[in-house]
Amino acid sequence: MNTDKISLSVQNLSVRLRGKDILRGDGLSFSLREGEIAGLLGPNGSGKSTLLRAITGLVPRGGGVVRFGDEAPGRFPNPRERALLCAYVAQNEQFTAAYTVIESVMMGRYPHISRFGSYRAADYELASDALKRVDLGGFENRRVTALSGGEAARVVIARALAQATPVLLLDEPTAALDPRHAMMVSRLLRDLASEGKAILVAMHEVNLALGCTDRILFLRGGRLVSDTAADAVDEKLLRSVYGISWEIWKLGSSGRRFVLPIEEEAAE
Amino acid sequence: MTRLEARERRNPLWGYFGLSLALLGAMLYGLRSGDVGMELADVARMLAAGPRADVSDSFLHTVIWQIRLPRVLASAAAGAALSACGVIFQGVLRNPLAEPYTLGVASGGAFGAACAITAGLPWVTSAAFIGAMSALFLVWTLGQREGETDIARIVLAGVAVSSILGAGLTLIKSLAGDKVALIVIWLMGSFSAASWRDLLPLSLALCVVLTVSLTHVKELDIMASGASGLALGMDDARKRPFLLSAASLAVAFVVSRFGVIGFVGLVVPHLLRLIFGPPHIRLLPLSMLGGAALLCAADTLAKNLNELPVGVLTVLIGGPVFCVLLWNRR
Repeated sequence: MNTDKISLSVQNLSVRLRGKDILRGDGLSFSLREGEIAGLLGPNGSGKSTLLRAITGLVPRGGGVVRFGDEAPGRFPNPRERALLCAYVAQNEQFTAAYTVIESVMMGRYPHISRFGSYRAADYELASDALKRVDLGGFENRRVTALSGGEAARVVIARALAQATPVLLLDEPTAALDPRHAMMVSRLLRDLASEGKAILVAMHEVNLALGCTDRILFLRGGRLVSDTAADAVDEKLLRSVYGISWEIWKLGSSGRRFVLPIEEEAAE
Repeated sequence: MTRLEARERRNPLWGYFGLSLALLGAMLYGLRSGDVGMELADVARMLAAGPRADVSDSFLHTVIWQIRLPRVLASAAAGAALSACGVIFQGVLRNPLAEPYTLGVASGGAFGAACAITAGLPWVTSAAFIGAMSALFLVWTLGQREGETDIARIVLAGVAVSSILGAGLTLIKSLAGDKVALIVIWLMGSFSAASWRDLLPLSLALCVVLTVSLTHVKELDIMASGASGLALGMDDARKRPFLLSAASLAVAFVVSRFGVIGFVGLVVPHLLRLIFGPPHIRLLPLSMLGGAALLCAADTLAKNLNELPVGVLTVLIGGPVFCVLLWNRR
């Protein structure tokens, strides 16, 4: 479902960390509409994680504008306001204390609670529903430190779901997941999009991206080198981004495409 | 996950009940025992008579009201404050083995006190407090990076400043001549000189810690869990330093008056977290009860062992417990 309402707008975003330009501003601009899923792909070090973190506010922007919805330009939301607009699923989050799964997921409700308020039954319900959506129903009272990598990764996703934001950013959410759960997340993202969320998901697995996104943003060397519909991704584009050759196959019945990197060195 | 953590969390009601009982028991033990032997009935009678009563046993009355009661209250309050600060430090620094002296408060206080004692000045407490706050300020400033407080840096700064002040302390001890004994005794901590006047700053410190910690329960949970506070809408960059400062201030109060009492702020929160779980809404009150009970009991024991410094006892009790904890985490 794509309406024309813009949920997230990024313009000329640049980030400089420890003296290095991680994201180069000019041209790093794009918008996400309500109900759209965009994949963020690129080689290692291209700046995918940094882009997501800059939008969330975890790293300071060097320049450029990040706007959520139709808020006034130039207005920088405070952390609580931003957490109501944008949820972020980090890569490899470590759990450092033995909270239960439900306690962890309820932390996603924090921006919705007033300063001196406490979590309510409604928050518990939302957290519980979020757990069911990531196939962790029944895990409420397990300790997060006792979970497998894949289960822990899904708890983090559930927490972001509980945050109930119009924009959702995910950094490699399927990296620790087995194929069944990777597919489940893929399907979950499509469901969330049809409910109106705008989703930007960084991935290194091209096929997964082709399968679940409408559109793909390619980063290379801190620059946005391409912003195309998933269907329009061709070998030439992939070669220019990744520096290797690819074969593109179409599965007979479904028409679904998948890509395979091939051995020969490509001339740059 | 360690074997201890794998066990089910105990119902906190048991904790509240048991620790309250332990605290009551420790306080009664403190009121009853000492150089002047008393029966519990006498204690009860003196307490019931009120502070200004004109009773026949005015000597016992004085012992209870002027000597033992303030001491028992002071040790309990200090224990509660140290434990609560330990909870805050362990939560903010995400390290269940952190303790309230991490930011140099103890070293600063010790250095200040040592200077005052050596110089023969009477205001040891004030000097210790100034020393403690100066060390904190120094650690704080060193911990800034690009205008923001960097938690990793601040911990390193704490280590550095503590080491330097520790060396300075040794230097002063070597120059102190016959006052060395006084310095060493001060350092080891004692409640033997506790009076009603001390309870005002101590109550203040406890109030500060109570208010700050109980209004930040949700934030402490998020910090301790490993989640990114900023992504969840918490102003991480301001809350962490604020919590650490408030806790260090309270610790400075305790250290400057009663010396460096170790392990209460480390072992009590750590143990209670293993038994009752990390949520701060219960960890905080339970730790305060536990710390109060422990320090009150340790102080009474210290009193009965010929005024052994309480800091020695908490280490003697806490040290082996600490080792057991480490052993279980391997």
